[in-house]
Amino acid sequence: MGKQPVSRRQFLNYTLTGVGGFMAAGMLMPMVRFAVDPVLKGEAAGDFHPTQQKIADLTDVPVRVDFSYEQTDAWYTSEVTSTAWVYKNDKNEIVALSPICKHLGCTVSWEGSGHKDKFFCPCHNGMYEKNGKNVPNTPPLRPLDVYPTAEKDGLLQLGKPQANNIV
Amino acid sequence: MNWNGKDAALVEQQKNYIDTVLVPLVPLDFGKEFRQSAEQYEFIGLLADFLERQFKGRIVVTPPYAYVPEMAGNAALWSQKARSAAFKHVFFLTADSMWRARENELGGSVILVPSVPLGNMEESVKYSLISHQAKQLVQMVVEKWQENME
Repeated sequence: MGKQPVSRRQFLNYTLTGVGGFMAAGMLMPMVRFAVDPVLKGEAAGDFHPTQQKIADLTDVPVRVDFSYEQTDAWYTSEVTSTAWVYKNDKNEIVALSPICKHLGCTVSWEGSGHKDKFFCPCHNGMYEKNGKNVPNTPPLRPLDVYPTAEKDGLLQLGKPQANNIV
Repeated sequence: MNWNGKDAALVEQQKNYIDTVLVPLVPLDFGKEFRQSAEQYEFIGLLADFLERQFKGRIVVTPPYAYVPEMAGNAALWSQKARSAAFKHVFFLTADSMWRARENELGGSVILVPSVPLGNMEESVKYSLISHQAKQLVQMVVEKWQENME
């Protein structure tokens, strides 16, 4: 009698423990996932949207960068296209300005209607310096918003525009 | 500005600056021209959206004025009312070439663009086509403002 026979009681004990373990794990796993979910999300691209603009191609002259991404509204998902004016400043940092005029929301353009070295708003002749600062005595009262920037695989990525704090 | 409550409140506050009304003019047909009329509506709508974004602070885009041929003349009433409410400029955006000959009766400037059937075009192609068209219109709008000032 080298072998210990497994008794009926023991067999049932093992099986129940095993099955119970699986059930407990099945309940706990999603809970743990929910708990750490913010951490997992944080890794996914931040809130940056990719563009087609190569970082290496940027110069000190602002270029227009159009980029689109999906946005979920209350009722439906739509493709939104946004624009930024992007250049490198004297410190070789990338500056991405929002084209939305701070007066009433028209779209400004770099050297529009022949205004040298300025962003120009065609609606009410608003003007901004290259760094986004509004020119006094034109309608806008605040500087253009700036986009946070990031780089991925040599391409520019843009975040959500923020108020510009230059004085 | 768009035709909604939030933008309308801004228009009332900033009437000095927001002095222009843009009316998309679209023909309506249920027979032979059914498809063309739908295509024009789609095309003009996208263009109007683009112009709204470009000139948000000066232009109010109204709901489109859609007409069967017998009603076309009534579009002039819209510009009359807008003017009497102190809007200085009224622009009509249309792809219906009939208006070339009838611009005078409208009481506003007509911006005529030949319609492009967008059909099953891919979004990105559609976007670049519209933005290309709209860029030419931007120049036209600025010129019309200047002309009307004189």
